[in-house]
Amino acid sequence: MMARAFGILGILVFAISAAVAATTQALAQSCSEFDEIVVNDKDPGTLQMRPYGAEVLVNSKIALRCLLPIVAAMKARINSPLIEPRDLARFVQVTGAIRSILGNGSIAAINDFRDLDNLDVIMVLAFGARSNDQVARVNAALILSDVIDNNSICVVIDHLYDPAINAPDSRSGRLNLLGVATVVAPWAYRENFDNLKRLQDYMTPIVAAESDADQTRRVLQNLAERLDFQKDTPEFQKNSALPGYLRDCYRYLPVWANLNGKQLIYGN
Amino acid sequence: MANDSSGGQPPSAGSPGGTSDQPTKAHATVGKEERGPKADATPPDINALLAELLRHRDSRNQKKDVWYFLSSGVFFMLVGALVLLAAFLTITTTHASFTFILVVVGVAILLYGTGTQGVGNFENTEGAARYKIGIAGGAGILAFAVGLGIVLRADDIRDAFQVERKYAQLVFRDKGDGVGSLTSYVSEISVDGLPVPAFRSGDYIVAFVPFVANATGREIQINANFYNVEAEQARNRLLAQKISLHQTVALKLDVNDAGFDFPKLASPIVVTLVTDDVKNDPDESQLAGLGQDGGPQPGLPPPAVVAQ
Repeated sequence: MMARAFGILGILVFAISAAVAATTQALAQSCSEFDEIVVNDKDPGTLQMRPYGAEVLVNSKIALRCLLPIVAAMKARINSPLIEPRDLARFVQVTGAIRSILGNGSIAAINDFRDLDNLDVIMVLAFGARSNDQVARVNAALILSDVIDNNSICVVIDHLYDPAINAPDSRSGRLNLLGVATVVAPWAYRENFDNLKRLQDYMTPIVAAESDADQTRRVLQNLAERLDFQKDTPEFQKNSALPGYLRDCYRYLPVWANLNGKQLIYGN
Repeated sequence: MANDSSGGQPPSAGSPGGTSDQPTKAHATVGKEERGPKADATPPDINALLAELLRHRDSRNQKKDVWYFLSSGVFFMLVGALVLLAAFLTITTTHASFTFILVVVGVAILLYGTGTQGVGNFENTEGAARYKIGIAGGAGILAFAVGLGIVLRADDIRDAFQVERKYAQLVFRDKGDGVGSLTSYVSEISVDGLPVPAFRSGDYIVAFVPFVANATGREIQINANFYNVEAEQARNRLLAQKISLHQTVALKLDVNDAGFDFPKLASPIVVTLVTDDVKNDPDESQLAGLGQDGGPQPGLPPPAVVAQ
């Protein structure tokens, strides 16, 4: 009797181990499809990596499970708007795939992204949206405008307090990130609503002093209108604190905000 | 003039040649011939005669100058150069044999003008017999050589003088945004209205653009259609199904590549694969998903998302 029980237990352990190993191996195999493949590296200016085929992006969850860790791992190297050519090529390759997934998968893919992302991913994308490469900026800005939410908007707001983002050659990035910020405004919880209001107050005089920033002024106007959409009635989220599952920003340490007073505030 | 001096006086009798009272027949004849016109003749205008003489001489000199120029070396050099120019201008449109003949004739006439008319020349002016021996003129030598060359080296001549038509590689590449590549497309490309062959090279599509060696720098009209051939079940909806491209490009070769048989054109053509409606604007229905309450509401302006 005892021997039979041990036998069944052994079979069960073996089966579970085999299943885990097979799953791990399958996952590893699927992620190997997202390795980098250089197409053209004749010179740094033309360094390009091969886009992933649509067939490996069909299952958005599996693809994002492989791609988002790649993006998060870039945080160590992509920590300024000036991205090195090889990192830039890899960034464009990965963000191009993510853009394809979000574009083809719609809301389900966005929710998959949100389930898997973290602030490191958003930080890298924010640097990409204000980078020195137009293709990278477009990819990152479009992804961010799809996936940004109350759980990650603090990173975008923080970038907009970087004094360097107001330099003439950085205004495309500023415009991109301001556009991303407008997305969350109508659904912003109290903390984010207040932070967005402070951002609007901070940015408006800066942009007003610029002679060639009409588009940025329109985006700021849009931010104000979308913030004003929330009324002082209970059904609007600005009247509620962030729920527990959306409090990643509580643990975020601002890089640029709060250098001159309290601008990005969560909790106390 | 001696008769003129005698005026109308009859010769005296018994004088020599006129001593007799009867004039001789000859004298009578002369007197009869000269008497009429000389009766009212005026002396000729010496200056007019001189002017006429000079004019005649100038005319002869002009004719002589023209003839001298037409037989000069410079003239033959000019004619030879003109024939060579004709060969150069028509090399792209005529048969190689005709070009070859023009070149040979042009060179022959040019060489004739430079003074290589004769290979050997011997002239003797002494004695009663004058003789001149020219041994085979340069043009004759060349003609002989040409005839022999045509017979012996016909294939080489054809290769040397055939029209210099080459093919340049025109590279089409995607924008490099990581969304898709030209591997998902097949192409149909024409240059100046004529279909040209194209092939896939990695992630690029390369078309062969015909050109003649002396016509680089001109502009060519590129018309290209790219058709998405991805399988329906794995189609990236961000990528356009068909891309039509009409572009004028300069036929300018890549200087680092121009020595190759198929040099590349200096600038590749970048093809934007993403459809117009998703290039810069996120899908509004996707953004609607951002609302925790599940969608856009009346009176809410859409977000001013800009991607640039």
